[in-house]
Amino acid sequence: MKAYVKETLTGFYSLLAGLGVTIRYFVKPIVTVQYPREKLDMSPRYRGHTEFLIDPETGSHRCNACENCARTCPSGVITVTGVKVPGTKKKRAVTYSIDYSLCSLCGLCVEVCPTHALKFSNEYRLAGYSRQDMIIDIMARLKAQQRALGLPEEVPPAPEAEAAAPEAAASGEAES
Amino acid sequence: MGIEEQLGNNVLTTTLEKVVDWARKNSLWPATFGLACCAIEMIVTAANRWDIARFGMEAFRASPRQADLMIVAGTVTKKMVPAVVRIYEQMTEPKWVIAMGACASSGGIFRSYAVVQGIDLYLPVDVYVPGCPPRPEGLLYGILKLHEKILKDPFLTARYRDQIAPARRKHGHGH
Repeated sequence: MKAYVKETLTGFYSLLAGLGVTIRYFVKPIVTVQYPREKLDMSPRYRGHTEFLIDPETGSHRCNACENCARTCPSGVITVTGVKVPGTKKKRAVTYSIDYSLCSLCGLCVEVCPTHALKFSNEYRLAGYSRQDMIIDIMARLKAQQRALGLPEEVPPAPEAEAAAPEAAASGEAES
Repeated sequence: MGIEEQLGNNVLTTTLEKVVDWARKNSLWPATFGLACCAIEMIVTAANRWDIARFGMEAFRASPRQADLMIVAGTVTKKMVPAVVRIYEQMTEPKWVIAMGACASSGGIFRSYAVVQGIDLYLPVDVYVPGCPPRPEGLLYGILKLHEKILKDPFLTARYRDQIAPARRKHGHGH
């Protein structure tokens, strides 16, 4: 009998304790982010896919298509092609795309870039219905950003006869 | 859709199918399993900050018989594939698959004989969520994309996908 009463009282106490937790959370502020309607700002350290940094001096990217990023990438994600700028000895990137389905966001491409042309974006809405949807054209993204900022769009330099390198044409097919 | 099997092909049930699809999209129940680090983000998505219950998905079912959605969250090793495929086959129709993260989508950095180079070699993936790992918002965005797909692309397409695109599953079930 004594054990029965004790069990009843213990059960009643545990019921109250459990309800106490519920009631405490009931009066606390709501922590849920109502995602499609309200969005959190990504933290500065968040790593989305890479994108071009817009150079404030030129209003365009700084990529000279040295392909250090493509060579250092452990997954072979990056496809970059460039053409020689007429009159100079420099190259300039004309296409840059990444296969984001393979990217592990290690950041080696950002670190290795000699002109600091790359940075991580804060893009996260990237789901798609096929693997083709995850090939991201970073040059097109840069052009969209330039249009949004009202910056003049860069006209890619016309390839000279000898400047159109054969490997540029070969890797241009892969990212289509 | 199920009801045609009972009635034969005599009754058109297009409007009813829309209602059923609407109901299905609002009560997708995922199967409880995670394979690697992406599973942590999936668990966070179910927790109170992002609260997957707002989409009628709070019940992560431990039994594949009660689940509609398989979130393949993480690296799928060759050794794990038979278990993953069996869970998928045990799930009742209609069923959908989300490949979450780089490894499930394409093998990611693990270009290895031990790792499956994309779960789409074994399962018909509906939505790919890239990222390493994706944000909880990214997974929720993928789930919303799947909702859109369920509404406009009813289950019949998934069932006859083998006939529409046989190349997709040419690798078969490799166990």
